[in-house]
Parts: sequence; structure tokens; C-alpha cells
Amino acid sequence: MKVSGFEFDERNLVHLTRHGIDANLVWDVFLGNPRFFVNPPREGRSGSHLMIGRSSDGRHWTIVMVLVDDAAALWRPITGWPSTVKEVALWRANE
Amino acid sequence: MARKRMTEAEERQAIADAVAARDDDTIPARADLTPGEAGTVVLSVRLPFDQARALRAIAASRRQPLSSLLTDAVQAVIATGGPQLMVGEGVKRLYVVGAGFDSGETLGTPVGPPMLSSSISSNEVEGATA
Repeated sequence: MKVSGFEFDERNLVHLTRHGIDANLVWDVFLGNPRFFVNPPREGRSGSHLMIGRSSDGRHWTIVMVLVDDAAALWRPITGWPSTVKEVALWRANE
Repeated sequence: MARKRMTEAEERQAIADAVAARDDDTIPARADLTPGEAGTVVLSVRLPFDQARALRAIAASRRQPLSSLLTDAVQAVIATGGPQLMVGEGVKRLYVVGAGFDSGETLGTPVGPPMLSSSISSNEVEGATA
């Protein structure tokens, strides 16, 4: 499955901004050869996809996203944060 | 799957689930996703109103959409071997200085270094230097 684009609107942009993330940063991470992961679904919890990668300044970011249009390979970033140690290790292990 | 519009409640729940997964021992599995190779990217530039107005005036004088003026400017920077970057930490301002532009055409009234100048917010600068 591909990731061809991201859906941004006022709702997710406002939320992402609170975490120091904007659309440019999402694209920055995406264009830097990130790794993709999925959280296994659990009871009462859907599995969300994670994009873990580095921005061009070398920082690691974890962007949580959900598929909103599979025909267009369009994903919606819903939240994100500076990658945890666990997430950086995961990214390194899959380099 | 057709185009899915997440409701606000669904999105809130998905965020809560992701945060919960982040904080527990869940190990995410590698997902078989690949970045698409074709397409376009929309990037935004944060500028003070006065600089944006100056750019808009230039675009109007050329009878050119502001968007295509920005696109032309960025492509010219890439074509000339890349910009020089100067970070003024004291003023939390990032200057992108590229060859190939006349400063009067690019900004109208140059502020700081000539050519293309873009300010970024303090948290972005902190992100860049952390």
C-alpha cells in the first residue's frame, strides 16, 4: 500500500501544532525515507499507523496517521511527537 | 474503501488509542507501506504580512498568481545549486539566501539579508537546534 499524500484541515493542523508539528514537518519526515509501522489492534483500540523518521534537521519524529482514501493513498496525520527511545530503536532496527 | 471522513469523536478516540499504545509495551509491527513516487507536495512559507504583501504586489505586477511566483522562486533556488542558510539565533530568524534573484524583485523592500527571506517560529528554531 502506498502513501501518496496527506489530508490536512483546520482540525488536525490545530492539534498537530500543539505538538510542534506542521504540514511542512510531516512532508519533511515523509521525504526522508521513513519507516512505517502499525500498532496491533486491541480490544477497544484500533490499530493506527505510525510513520517514524527523521526531519531534515536530524530529529526523529513519530507521526500517527490513518488511511482515509485507499484509492488515492491519502492518509490523515492525527497526532505526533518527538520519537521516544523505543521508537528510535524501532526505526534503527528497520533501517 | 471509499473516501472516509473521520468524525471529531473518531479522531479523538484514535489519538487516545495511539497515545495509549505509545505508553504501553506494544511493539508496532513493520507496515508494508511505500511512499508514492509521483505527485506533488504542498509546502507553506511563513512570512510577516508586510513581506507577503510585497510578494503579492510583485505577483500582481507580473499578472502572475502568488502561488506560481513562490513556486518559481523555490525552483530558481534549487536550479542555482541550493540556498545558503544563515540562522540568526538571537532573533530566531532563518534566512534563505539564494542566487538568481534580484532582491527588489523578490522582496520589494529587503529585510536583513537580501534575496529570499523567511522567518520561522521560535519552536521551529528550537527544533532545529535541539
